[in-house]
Amino acid sequence: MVRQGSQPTLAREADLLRRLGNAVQDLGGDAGYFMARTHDRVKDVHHVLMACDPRWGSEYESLDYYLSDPWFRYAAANSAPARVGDIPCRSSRERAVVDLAERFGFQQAIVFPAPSPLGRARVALLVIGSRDPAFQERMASTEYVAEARNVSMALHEDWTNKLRSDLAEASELSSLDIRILELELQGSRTKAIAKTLGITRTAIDSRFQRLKDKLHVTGRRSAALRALEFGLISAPEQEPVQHGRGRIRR
Amino acid sequence: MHLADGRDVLEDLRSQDNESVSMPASTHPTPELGPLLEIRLSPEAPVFRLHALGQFVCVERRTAKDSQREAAQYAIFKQDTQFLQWCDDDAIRLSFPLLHQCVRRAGSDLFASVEGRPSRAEES
Repeated sequence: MVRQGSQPTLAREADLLRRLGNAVQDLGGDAGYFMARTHDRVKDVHHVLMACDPRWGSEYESLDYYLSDPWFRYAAANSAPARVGDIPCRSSRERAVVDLAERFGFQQAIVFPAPSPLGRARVALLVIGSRDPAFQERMASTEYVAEARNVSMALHEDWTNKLRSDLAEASELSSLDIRILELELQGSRTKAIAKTLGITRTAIDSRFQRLKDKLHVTGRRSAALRALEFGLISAPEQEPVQHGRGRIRR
Repeated sequence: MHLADGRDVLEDLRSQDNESVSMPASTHPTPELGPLLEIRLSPEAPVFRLHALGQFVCVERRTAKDSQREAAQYAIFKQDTQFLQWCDDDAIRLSFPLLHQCVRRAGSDLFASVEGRPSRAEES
């Protein structure tokens, strides 16, 4: 039940938490959190870094507010910062999410979405809250907004890098795995991949089965796309795809 | 933001070091890596990871909502009283009492090892 030792450390998470805490204070807040969602057809994962009373997170978690959060909904569709008072609640459940946040230091708060080139597949936001009634007036300062947006985007980038690194470590892809995924990404079929790499089709199928497990996806194409998304393989060069024949990378 | 015992959460976080750090670059020294514990009871229960880093403990609480949805929360605790309070307010106290006791004990033991004193997990 209790295991000690060999799992990945939480050092990177702790570093980000401390940086988040410092940034929230530098930006005049007295509570803050960073939330990121990664979702595709296979997995939908929310990560929350808290620089606030962690009991907010406990209640949020136990009530499963992740898919009912109006601030997160806003961040999924907008890139501009917003005062939370300007984000309308569309249901009583969304109102309850806001009520909970207000109980834990977010009476006055500003939402800073962190846009991603992957669009809605990866959404993140930084929320900075305060009990100071004048806190949201800071939005009038372009310097303040620029600084906070930088923080939000930097956190998002660092968090994405952490996930990428975690996946690379956990998947332990061999050079052969990488070649197979790259060929899959180029559109090569099993027969062509086997011919290119000089191994049997059965071996390719077996490799793909393990790769799908390692990358937590259900299909070959998804495995290649996941590996590409997390920087584990390179994008194909801009050459015509030759279906049925693999292309050997230089 | 203040905790139940009156301490300020952000002051706690900032006081990990006195160096002023601004985003995006991190200039934090790497804290000393202490023991790391993973507490896992059953597939439907949350999984906790506790890692002693320097004088504080970083906690990950990971829950599988269903076969596709998952959520993970992260927080830093500088003192065991703060950690135990958080444990006692968590829904697992009622839904998974054994897990609650394990997490409580594990966290308290981590703090005790860091501070070189007996664990306080059994006090309340």
